[in-house]
Amino acid sequence: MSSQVVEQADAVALRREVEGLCGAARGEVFEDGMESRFSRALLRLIEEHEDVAVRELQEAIEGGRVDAPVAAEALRWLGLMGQGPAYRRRRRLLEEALSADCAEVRDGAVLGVMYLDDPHALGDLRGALARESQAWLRRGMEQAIQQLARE
Amino acid sequence: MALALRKIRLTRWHREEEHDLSWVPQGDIVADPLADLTTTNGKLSVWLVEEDLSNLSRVLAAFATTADRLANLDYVLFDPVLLTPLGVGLEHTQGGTADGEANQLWHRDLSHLSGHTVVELARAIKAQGREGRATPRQLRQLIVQAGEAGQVDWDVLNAGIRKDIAG
Repeated sequence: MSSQVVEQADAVALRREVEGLCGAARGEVFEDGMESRFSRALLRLIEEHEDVAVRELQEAIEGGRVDAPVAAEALRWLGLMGQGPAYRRRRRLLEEALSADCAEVRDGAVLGVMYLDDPHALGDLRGALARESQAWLRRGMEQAIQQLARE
Repeated sequence: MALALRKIRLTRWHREEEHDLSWVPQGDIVADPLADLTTTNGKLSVWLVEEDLSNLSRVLAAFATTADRLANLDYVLFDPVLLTPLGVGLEHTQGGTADGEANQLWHRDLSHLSGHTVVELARAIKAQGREGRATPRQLRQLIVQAGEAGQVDWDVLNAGIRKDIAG
């Protein structure tokens, strides 16, 4: 088997693993700051597979194959990972998720960005705030902007 | 009169701003906020916050020490007066945070909570409660201050919180 075929097979297996993990977490009640089986498994996957795992997660979220509460929880933990594996890829996913259709996912992205505490996200946060129609989420975005602008 | 503070996840309390909830009968609410009001033996943990919010920072710092990681803390404040017509009790019990004095002074359990009462409580909180979000950076600062003031016991902080505070 060529190395390309092996890589493709690995990518398919990883995609299944990411989607299986997100599917299994459906209906789980998450609490801010508390670890869960889901968060531990997600972090393990990202530590092992780095950018590829984050890419698969992003494709699953953007493809609508992850429930909103699970996607929002995943985004929180991408931020809570702080500096570490796939940092830029995680930050890019969080910045892009600020434009998600679902408010719960946008809130997860706001929190993920806030945990990451990287002023690079300020432009995307300001753009998200300009577009945001929900008052409670606008307040969250303003808090995040305030925090990052003080860096 | 003090206020009661309950930790929530804000997004669960704002579904109507995004989703069509016209199917929810008049006077009822969508069930999502109930995930933040899960009882044990008909009891629910809350914290008392002075009406002038003078102890809010300390309660938030104390509460934040119970998490695995330093994250945001979403909460709702409500007037315990709304408990009376629901037949819900307010019992003085010991909290489980790293701030022993806060545990003693301000922790309470709401009691006599049936399924029906929890729904009514959620409805009342949604109508009258005041929401807030403490950011991880704010909580970090509050915990450090509480530690320096001898209010928080560093020895009982878990490893995740210690690591996040150390940065």
